[in-house]
Amino acid sequence: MQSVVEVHPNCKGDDYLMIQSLTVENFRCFEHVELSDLKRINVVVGQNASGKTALLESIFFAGGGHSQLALRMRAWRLLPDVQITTANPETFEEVWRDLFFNFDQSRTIAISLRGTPQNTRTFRIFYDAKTEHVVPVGQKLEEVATLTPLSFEYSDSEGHRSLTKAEINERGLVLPGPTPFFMNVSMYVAGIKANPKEAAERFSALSKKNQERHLVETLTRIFPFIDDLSVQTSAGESMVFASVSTLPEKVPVSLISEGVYRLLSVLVGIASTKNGAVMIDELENGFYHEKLPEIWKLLLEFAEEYKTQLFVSTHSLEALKHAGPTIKGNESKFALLRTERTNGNSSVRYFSGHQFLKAIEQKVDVR
Amino acid sequence: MIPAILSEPYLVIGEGPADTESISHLAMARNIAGYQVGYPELPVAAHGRTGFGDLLAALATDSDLRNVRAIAIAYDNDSNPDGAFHHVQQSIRGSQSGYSVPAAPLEAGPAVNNVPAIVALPIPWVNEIGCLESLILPAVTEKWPEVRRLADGLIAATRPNDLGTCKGDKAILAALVACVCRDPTCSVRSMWSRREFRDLLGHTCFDRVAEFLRDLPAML
Repeated sequence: MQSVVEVHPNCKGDDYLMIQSLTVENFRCFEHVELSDLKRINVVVGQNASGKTALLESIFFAGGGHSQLALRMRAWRLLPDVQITTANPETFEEVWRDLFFNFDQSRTIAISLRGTPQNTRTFRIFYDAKTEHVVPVGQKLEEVATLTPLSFEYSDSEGHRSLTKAEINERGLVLPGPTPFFMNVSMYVAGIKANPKEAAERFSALSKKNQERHLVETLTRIFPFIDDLSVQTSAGESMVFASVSTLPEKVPVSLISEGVYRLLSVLVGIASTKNGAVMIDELENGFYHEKLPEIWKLLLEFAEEYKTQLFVSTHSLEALKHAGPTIKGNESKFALLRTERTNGNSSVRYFSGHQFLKAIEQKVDVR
Repeated sequence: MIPAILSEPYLVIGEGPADTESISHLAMARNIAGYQVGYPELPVAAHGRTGFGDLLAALATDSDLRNVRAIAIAYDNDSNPDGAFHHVQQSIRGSQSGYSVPAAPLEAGPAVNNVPAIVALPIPWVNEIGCLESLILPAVTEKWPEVRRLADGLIAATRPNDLGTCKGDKAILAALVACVCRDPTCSVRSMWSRREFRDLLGHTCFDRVAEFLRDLPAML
C-alpha cells in the first residue's frame, strides 16, 4: 500500500474527483484504453485475466509517482523477489518485462490521469536508446555488456517534468527515489492483508485529528461485538486493537476476523486518502454476504465524506447484486467498467450508474 | 427475465411472459430459428411497456449482447397504436444506452454504439387496435365457434359497457380457454404448452407476425 496525504486547492466542490478520465497505453494487457466520465465509485468487473487488476494497478502506478511501486506490484502478483547482485542486463529487463503490453519492451508505456490541473499527470516508461552504456557483468574487467536504463518520466499539465532512471551497476539494481509527482492513492490487493502497522499509523493519524470516531462508530455498528478501537503496541509494533465485550482484554483486530480487519483497513484507507483515489481489488474477499449491502453503503458514505474516489473490482455476482440499494438514488455517483479480452488485447467498456442499476434490477449478469 | 446466455442473433422482448411464450412457441411451430425471448423483470409495476426502457438499459451491460444483431420489441397497440409506438420510442431513448430509435413500427434502426438494432413489433399488427389476445382470438374462434358465440353472449350480458377492445378480447379469450381447456385456470402464458392449443399456431392470424420473424434478418 502507498498513501501520501496531499490536499489540493481545487478539491472543495462536492463533485470533486481526483481522476475524471484516463488513458492507458502499452501497460500489461492494455494496448490502448481510454475512459472518461469516471465517478465517485467505479466498479470494475470482467472475466479472469481480462485486466481488472491491471486497470487498478495502472492508476496506482501512475498516481504513486515512484518506480519502486513496480516491485510492489510484482510481489502482489506473486512474482519472485528481484535479486540482482551483479550487473546483468538480461535480468534487469526481466524485472520490467511484465509491465509492457505483450512483453514488448520496445514500446512506451504511457498512463495519463486527468482531473483538476493539479491532478493531471502523464506517466511514461520507456527505454531510451540514447542512454545506452556499457556495464561490467562479472568479476573480470573484460566481461561487459551494454545496458539501456529504464526511464520513468512524469509530467503535469503545466509542463513540469521529472525524469528518473532505473539501471544496474556493479552492486546490482539501482532504483530512483520518489518523485514530486505523487498523487494521493492507495491500493488494497486481493488475498494480501493490509500491513497492520500501516493501518495503525493511519488510524493514529486520524485519531490525532479527532477524526476516528466516525470510523469507530461505523465498525461497532456493523460488528456489534466490538465496543471500541484503539492503537496499542504488540511485540514492539503498533496495531489497531479492539475491545470486545466478551473478552477480558483487547485483541488485535486482525485476530478477530479477516472481514473485520479488511473493512477497518479499507475504511481507514479511504479516510486517510482524502481527495485521492483508493483501489480495492476483489471487494468480496473476507466479507460475509449478509454484510455486503452495508459495506457498499459505507464505501459510498466514506468516499463522499472524504472526497475519495474508489475503483473497486469484484468477481462476485452477489457483491454486485447487493450494490443495488446503494446505487439507487445515487446513480450519478457510480460507473461500471467491464474489462474484456479479445485476441490477447484487453479493452474496457463503460456503463453508467443508471445502466448498472437497471442490470442489477433486471438480473442481468454484467460480469 | 432474459435468458442467462444470449446466444441467438435475435431477441424478442415482450411486455410479459404471455407475449414472449406466444412468440417463442410461434417461432418453434413455424420452424423459425435464431430467436430468444425475454421480458422486463419485477416489480410488477414495471411490467408492460413501462419496463422496456429498464430492460434495454440492463441489456446494454450484458456481455452476450455482442451476439445479438437485433432486438424486436413486441408491444400491445391497445386502443392507440400511434401512442403505443410513441411510448416505445420514449422507452428506447429513456434507456440512455445509445440504441437508435426506429422511426416507424417494423422499421429497423441501425446497430450503433455497441448495441444492436431495434425494431418495434406492434401487436396485433400495425395500426390495429388490440393486444396479444386480439391476435390469438381468431384461431381459437375458428376451432371452437360455438363456445365463442356463448362467450360473446356471456360477456355482453355481464359486462356490456365497461370493456374496450383489449379488455374485451382478454375476457373472451379467458372465458374460451376456461371452457375448452382441461385446466380451466390455464393462462395465455401456458396455453401453448397444452395439446388443445398447440395446433392453433398454424392459423393464418399468426402469419404476419411469423413472416416478420422470418424476414427480420433481411431487414437489417
